[in-house]
Amino acid sequence: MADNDNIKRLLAGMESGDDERTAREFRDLYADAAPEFAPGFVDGVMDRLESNREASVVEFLPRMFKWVAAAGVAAAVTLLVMTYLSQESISLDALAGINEISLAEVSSLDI
Amino acid sequence: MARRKDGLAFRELVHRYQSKVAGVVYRMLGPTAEAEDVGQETFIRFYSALPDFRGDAAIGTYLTRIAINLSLNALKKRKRDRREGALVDHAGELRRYGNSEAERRQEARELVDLALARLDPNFRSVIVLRMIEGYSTKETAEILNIPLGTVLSRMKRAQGKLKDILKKLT
Repeated sequence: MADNDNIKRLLAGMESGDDERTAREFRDLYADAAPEFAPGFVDGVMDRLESNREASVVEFLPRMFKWVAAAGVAAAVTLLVMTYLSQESISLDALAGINEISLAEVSSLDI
Repeated sequence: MARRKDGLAFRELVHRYQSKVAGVVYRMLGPTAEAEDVGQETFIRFYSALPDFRGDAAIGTYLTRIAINLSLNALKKRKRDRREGALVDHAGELRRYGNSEAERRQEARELVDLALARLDPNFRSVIVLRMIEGYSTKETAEILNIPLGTVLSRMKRAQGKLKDILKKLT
């Protein structure tokens, strides 16, 4: 092992203090050794990407539900306030807009 | 349809750049399952960062930056888990090689990989980027997000240590 010319050249490069020379020796040594991941690496990345997407949808739904619920509560409060201001009541009839309709008007449909 | 098309394009990108990422993570972490995991995570992070990717760096350089940072994080975690030195344990597993030029080169590469594994991660990263991956000193500084002067001083110290380790190993 000690007489490995590749190692000798590399050590000589490092001892010279010339970074460019040393880099050339390193690159020559590694030139014909392109590392590869195990077969199926690309499929593994795509599978993880897909499961991350699904996970983000699952995480997104409860967050979205909170906003939808908050918007619903705000709309209900606005409706109650507007009804109270216009009808001076927030009874079910006032909310439905039928508090000023008499039974006779309903039966005659003459509203 | 667009998503499927994006998926196909991204698959092609992973296929094209996997060797570059493998070079970085295997030399930083050794031929371990962890390295493969970091390799996958590199592409996942890149995919998430695609909307912000302005293209002012080459895709390969951008992937290298992610890969080296994830590798350094993995090495920190390894150290925390007191598993540092796992790579060094491969010392006894060095194979015997014949005398052909290809075999001698393979033997030399194994020795250098072994010596790299014994270097401090900060030193290892500059050797991998500057010497093996062929980035310039300026690019190495940008990838590692450290000053140019720090790269130069780490390079000098890293080469000194690597030389000592290689001499001991041979």
